[in-house]
Amino acid sequence: MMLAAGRNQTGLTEQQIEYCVEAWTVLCADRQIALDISEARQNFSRTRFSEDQNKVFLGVDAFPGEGVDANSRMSTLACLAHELAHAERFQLGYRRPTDLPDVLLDEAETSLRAVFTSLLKKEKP
Amino acid sequence: MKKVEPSGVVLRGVCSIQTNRCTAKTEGPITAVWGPPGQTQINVCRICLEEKIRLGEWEVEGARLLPHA
Repeated sequence: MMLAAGRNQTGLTEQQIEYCVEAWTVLCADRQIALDISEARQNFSRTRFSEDQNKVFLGVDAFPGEGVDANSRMSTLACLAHELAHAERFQLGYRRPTDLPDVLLDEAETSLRAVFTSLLKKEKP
Repeated sequence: MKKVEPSGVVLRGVCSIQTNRCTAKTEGPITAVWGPPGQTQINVCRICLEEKIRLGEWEVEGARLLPHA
């Protein structure tokens, strides 16, 4: 799940949603992992992977916002790659912890998995 | 081995590699990488990009092919 502070909090336009659907298609390739867009138009909605429903919900925070920290500036493609990593880890048998600090470790491991995604453009220092 | 650089762009097009498992043999969402000579744009789907990496023909800095279910 994305850290929302500093990322977009305004309901997505149809064009933005269409972009996310296409980006998800590229990321998933031949894997069947659903992207639910039912909340994407709602302000403050959160992009997240649901273990219960085994799908990713697209939220408004998929887009960067006005924050200047790394999480706020992360691209939409990188955000979706992170959620895909959650889904992949779920399919591999990992189950997300709910308590601290294990939940933070799970997010960190998921981020590490996502950062290796071949499609992501690496920012040069 | 060619070094290619992901553009991070998502566009609609046809994959120019088209391996057996290609997911963009007809127009659909794809990405583009920059490769030699110079900064040539190569339209590619994720399957074909990773197949090129797996075969050792392309190298993407920082990319790893991780197992999935």
